[in-house]
Amino acid sequence: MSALTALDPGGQMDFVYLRDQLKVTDGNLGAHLSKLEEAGYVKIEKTFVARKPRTFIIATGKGRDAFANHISALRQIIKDG
Amino acid sequence: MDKTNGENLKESIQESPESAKDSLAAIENTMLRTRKAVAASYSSPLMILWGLLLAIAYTAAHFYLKYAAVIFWTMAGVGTAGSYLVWWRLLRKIPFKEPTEEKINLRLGALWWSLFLYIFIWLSLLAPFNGKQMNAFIITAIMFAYVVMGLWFTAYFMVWLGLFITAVTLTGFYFLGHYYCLWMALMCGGVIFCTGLYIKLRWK
Repeated sequence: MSALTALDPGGQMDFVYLRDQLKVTDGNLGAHLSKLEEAGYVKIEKTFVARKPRTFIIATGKGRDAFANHISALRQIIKDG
Repeated sequence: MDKTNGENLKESIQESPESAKDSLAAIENTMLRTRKAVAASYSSPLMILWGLLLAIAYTAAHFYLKYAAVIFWTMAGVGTAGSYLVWWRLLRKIPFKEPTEEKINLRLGALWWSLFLYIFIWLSLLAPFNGKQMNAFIITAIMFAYVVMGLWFTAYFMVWLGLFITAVTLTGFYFLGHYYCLWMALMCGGVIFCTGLYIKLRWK
């Protein structure tokens, strides 16, 4: 989510790029993304670019809000020491 | 994000302050890396291309000063065609898609074409001048656009690069006389090329 929310709202990230950044397997990332998609935190779009299939991941508004809340909670824990 | 939400969520996260600090650092690191990767994907190929072309053109102009105009016009033509080619390839390969990308690309294109139109107008107003004056004027005008773009997109490396190249151009113009072109090949073309290469290799 941190990589996805670094893009502008509505920004899409390639599945392969995300997998390489996180150093996980296709299956592992796919499983995580399915959970996030079920929760409505991400949207997965399959498309063709130059006749090659590409999968792009988008953080939804709900996902961005939940992630912002998570960061805020972490900051609160640090602040309260 | 208001404090109440953060406080409520805090209850549901079972983390010590130390591990929360680590988690936050990991999140911030990933976000920074992603932002840098986005900036690198767009800017590094163009910086490598133009840095290399400038270095070649300045070196050639030093040894064949009589043909400097032809050399720089050729460089501009090859660079413009190359930029469009690089951009076309980038749009197919790039692992990110921003919703405002298309509009920004069009505006950036318009910005650069407007800048070149105005450079042409200013040069016709300022004439007569020698080749060195014209060259220093064009480079500093382009670096001004770098600084403005860097401030606009909060890509501060562009601001620093723009200011640095402006400073080396003025140094070469005022103090290096005959060696101006060689100096610019190294300090303008070379620095732009190396910055592009560094960004490409380190900001992946």
